[in-house]
Amino acid sequence: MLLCALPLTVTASGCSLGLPLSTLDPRGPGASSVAAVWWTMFWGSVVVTAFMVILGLIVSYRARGRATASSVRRWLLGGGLVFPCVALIALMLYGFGPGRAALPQAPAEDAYRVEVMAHQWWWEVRYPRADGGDLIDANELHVPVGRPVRIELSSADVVHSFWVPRLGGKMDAIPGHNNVLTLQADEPGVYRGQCSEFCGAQHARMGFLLEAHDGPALEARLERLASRPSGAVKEPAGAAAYDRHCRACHSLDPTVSSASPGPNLAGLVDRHRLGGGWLANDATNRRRWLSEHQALKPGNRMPDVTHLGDDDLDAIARFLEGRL
Amino acid sequence: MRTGVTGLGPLARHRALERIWRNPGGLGRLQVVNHSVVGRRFLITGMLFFFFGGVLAMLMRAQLATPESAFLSHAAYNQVFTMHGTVMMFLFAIPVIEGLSLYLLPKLLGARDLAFPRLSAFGYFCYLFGGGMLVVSLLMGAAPASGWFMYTPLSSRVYSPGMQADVWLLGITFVEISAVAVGVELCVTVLKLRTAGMSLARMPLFAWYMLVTGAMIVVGFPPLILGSMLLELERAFGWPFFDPGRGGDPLLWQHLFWLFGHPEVYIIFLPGAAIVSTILPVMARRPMVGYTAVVASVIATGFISFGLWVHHMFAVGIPQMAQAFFSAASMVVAVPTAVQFFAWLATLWMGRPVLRLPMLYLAGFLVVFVFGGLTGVMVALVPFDLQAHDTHFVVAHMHYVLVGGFVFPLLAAAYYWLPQMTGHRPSDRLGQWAFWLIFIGFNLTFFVMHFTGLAGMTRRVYTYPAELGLEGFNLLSSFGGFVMAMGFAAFAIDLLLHYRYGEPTRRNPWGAGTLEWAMLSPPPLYNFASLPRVESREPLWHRPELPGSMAGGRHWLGLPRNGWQETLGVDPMSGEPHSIVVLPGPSWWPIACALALAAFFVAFLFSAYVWAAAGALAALAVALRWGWDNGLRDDAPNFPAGDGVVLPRHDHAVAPPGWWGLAFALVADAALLASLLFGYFFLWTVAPAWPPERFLDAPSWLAIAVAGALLTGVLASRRARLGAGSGHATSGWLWLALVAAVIASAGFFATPVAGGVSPSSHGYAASVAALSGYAAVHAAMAALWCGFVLLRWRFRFVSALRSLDLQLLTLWWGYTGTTGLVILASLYLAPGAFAQ
Repeated sequence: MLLCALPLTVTASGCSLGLPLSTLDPRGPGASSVAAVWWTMFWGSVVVTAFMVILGLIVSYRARGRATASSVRRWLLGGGLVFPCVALIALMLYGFGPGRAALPQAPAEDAYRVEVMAHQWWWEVRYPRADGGDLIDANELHVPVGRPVRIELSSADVVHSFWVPRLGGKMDAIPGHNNVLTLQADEPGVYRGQCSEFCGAQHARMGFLLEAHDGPALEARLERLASRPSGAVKEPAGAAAYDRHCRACHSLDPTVSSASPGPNLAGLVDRHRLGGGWLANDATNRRRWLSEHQALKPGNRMPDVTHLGDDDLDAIARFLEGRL
Repeated sequence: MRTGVTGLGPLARHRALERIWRNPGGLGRLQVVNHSVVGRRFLITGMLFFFFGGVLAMLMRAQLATPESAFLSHAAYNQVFTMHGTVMMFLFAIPVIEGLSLYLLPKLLGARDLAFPRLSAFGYFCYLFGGGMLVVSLLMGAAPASGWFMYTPLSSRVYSPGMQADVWLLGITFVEISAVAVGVELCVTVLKLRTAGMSLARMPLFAWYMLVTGAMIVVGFPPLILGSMLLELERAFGWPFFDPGRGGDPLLWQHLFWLFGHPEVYIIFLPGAAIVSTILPVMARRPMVGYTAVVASVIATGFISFGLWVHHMFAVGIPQMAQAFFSAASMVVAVPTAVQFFAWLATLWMGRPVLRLPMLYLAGFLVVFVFGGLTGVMVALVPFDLQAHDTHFVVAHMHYVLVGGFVFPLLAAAYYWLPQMTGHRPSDRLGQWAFWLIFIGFNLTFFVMHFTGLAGMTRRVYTYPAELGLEGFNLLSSFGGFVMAMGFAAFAIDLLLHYRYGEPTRRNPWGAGTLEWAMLSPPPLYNFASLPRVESREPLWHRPELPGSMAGGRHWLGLPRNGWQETLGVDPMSGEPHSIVVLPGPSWWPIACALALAAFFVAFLFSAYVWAAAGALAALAVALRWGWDNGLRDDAPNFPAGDGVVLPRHDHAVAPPGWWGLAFALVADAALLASLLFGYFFLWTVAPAWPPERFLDAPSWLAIAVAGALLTGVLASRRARLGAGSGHATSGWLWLALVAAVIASAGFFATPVAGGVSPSSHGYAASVAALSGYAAVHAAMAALWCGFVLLRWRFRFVSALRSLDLQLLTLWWGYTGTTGLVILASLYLAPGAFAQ
């Protein structure tokens, strides 16, 4: 059964493992070495399982009743002790060697630093600036390509886990602790990430994106974020409504972290996705979010605001668009 | 009819024994304590929970079959997955293991019942009531939803307001009381209640496995009981053990949980292997190869399993040295498992195996478990684990191990022992259908799931977006899940129908060698009309005439007397009988005690703390009343037991089963204290927000007074025991021990107050209060116990010959004194030691 299912699944998965969260479609040194280790271990396990099954069939049918006491002693010693010990030591030597790249590294001098604070159910991202201040964004990390990225993780509430499968292993974000995860992307592109420690109602929709940029593109991207507060206000009514109803939780200044629970909205319109990675970030969805966010991501911490009426919500939406 | 040496015919003896072992009917069924009945109740209740958990699994597979499905809301799904894990682990696997061994062990060991029949009846009711709490909560839509692992702070008052998390903590603790009670029961029964001549080396392997499993339960469950108590203290009274803002640490919970959780995996697998090692030799028609190697590897597994827990926590930020250690340990545990595997294969090789239905299920076990073990080795490799951890890969691995390692052997056990239990044969055809549906469905569901996980499907998500491209895998898994469900339905139908339509079986249909097949099917309540002296591990293979001569009463304890339910008490090593254990009959006390505890738990759940205290006191009162019934008021002579040997009753012997029972209970208690001390020092060294504003500042005379009282109590209780032995006055020493206990208890209760630490202020203060509370409660129990023994002394339950009460008291006082001094040292010396 296993043997029949096997080629089928492997073929099927071979065709379709180029998926957004697939560990088997790696784009970084950590994930690549693990993917290689996996395939070796996988085929090794298939061989061992097949070997055990065949052995079981042979001893039950062909060779039964033919063993002698001394051959059985050798058998127990060889199969029970020598075989697993040799196999395990070999695996450890092999697995720890190439696998070391996936382990969190000591802070390399040239690592690019990003701080990530996990919240129920979104990610606050901080880029330390040369001037000592931070630049704040949410649910997206922008990093250089081909350079180790040192991600410093913590949590504002419960335990979360930060995982970008195509780049490397995961690391928990635990309140009261600071963990460090080092990742590296070998190719520019947008990589999907996902919270992988159960964190309550919307654990499923706690995704994020990591974009690796080539050379100056990264600086340009961060400059755009930093210049957001000076954007002209074309919608005074929307601005007023925003101040009344939204600002308490959502700061619009990318250098000031709001002490309160909502993501900073300074970089909102530049993000790829909305609502923890689930929605395309376009004008329609941004407006939809205002009136339907509890249906789009049920249980999220943002209170229902439909009581404001369509006029106010439209104005807020226009205000946010106008800052584009 | 042939007449046995004792002058009774087999039928007359059967009738006389039936009268002695008879169970009450009607409402009186609640009083029943017989191991066959209690074991069956555990098994049936556990199987009902299995089907309940299976339905929950089907709900999950229905939800995950398609992306962004609207079948279950996040709130429903989170309750369903939490309850699926909780039900399968705590309400199915462990109770079914316990039920099977409660039912089988005495029969395999050649005993008539367990060491403490009333304790296992009590355990059953704790399990039933605790499990009931959880099921009711789910039916009311208020089931726990923080995962079966209940990580804090998600399960804290802030992030899980309401009583959902409390239902889990209290309900599961209630069920675990049952597990620990049964764990003690298993250990003592295996060590003390065997038939004549059954030395350790002649025990059936099943008994070895269950001895190790029982010991692992006794040591492995207390960390979680402690964790649940601490978390409940935090939720109910604000003692911040896990709150990083106030000197607690969420990681402490994870350590305590996995300190339990990893041994738990082997607590489930070892009984599965026990079943294999019992059935496979019968199917191969020869004794198990490598008995000693298997026993050694089972014991090794037991030890190693306590050194692996951190491999569930590789992603929390563990230092690399620790990672390497736990990674290597996780691989090493594969070695003893490999030894067992090759011993099984060698047994087949040396024998003439026949492919009967149980063997088919064992073949399923061999295949599925090998693959599960191999993926286990993979996740032991840290770099790979950091990718696979908390994805569906681990879900797949875990099901391969648990379903492969336990459910397949359990089904084999069902088909193997049902004829023994019910006297009827299940259907071969339905059994084969069930096997193939389960086997194919299982592999379809879970083999694919390895790839689902590696393709990025994280665990415990109630939905996933279509663009992840995971729907093909998931649909296949869901389809396989429903095929597997049909297989289990076929098994359930077989189970229900065979009792009515199955052919009656003859005795020992498989031609097995162990003693459970020497009895009629279904077995009589007294198991054996007389207990044989055994000279080998497979007595029925070497002496096929045994069933007849046993029924004929020609062995030990063949003569019913005094209406006593008798069995042999043996030397744990050699199996030589040294007492006649007279077992207690039906009683209301076990269910009364469990009901009082249920009142405590339910009242606590609704924050009615006064009522909760009343429930706890009521449970204590019932327990004392229950204990009062034990023993005799006059010294009894020795009685003829068999082979011309006369033996004392167990209550006239040194270290009877009761002493061993308390000893094992104290091992569990010590594991609880060790976990608490671990927490105290863990917070000290790891938690953020340390040091606290103030350390314990109690006057040193208080510590000296408490230490003095502890030492006095220990010595006085020993003198009381020695005095009773030599016929001297004992009550004076008992009074002294009582006063010492009161002083020690009051001193410990006063310590946090006198020391100026308020438990809700900081994790340090909370641990100090918990440690003092632990010692205070133990000393208070010692006081109560002294009073109890004084009363029993007065009513002539204690004499120079019948000193069990005093033996137990000495043991308790020794424990209380030792741990009290350890706690004093930890409280008073640690601040100074750490300051330097």
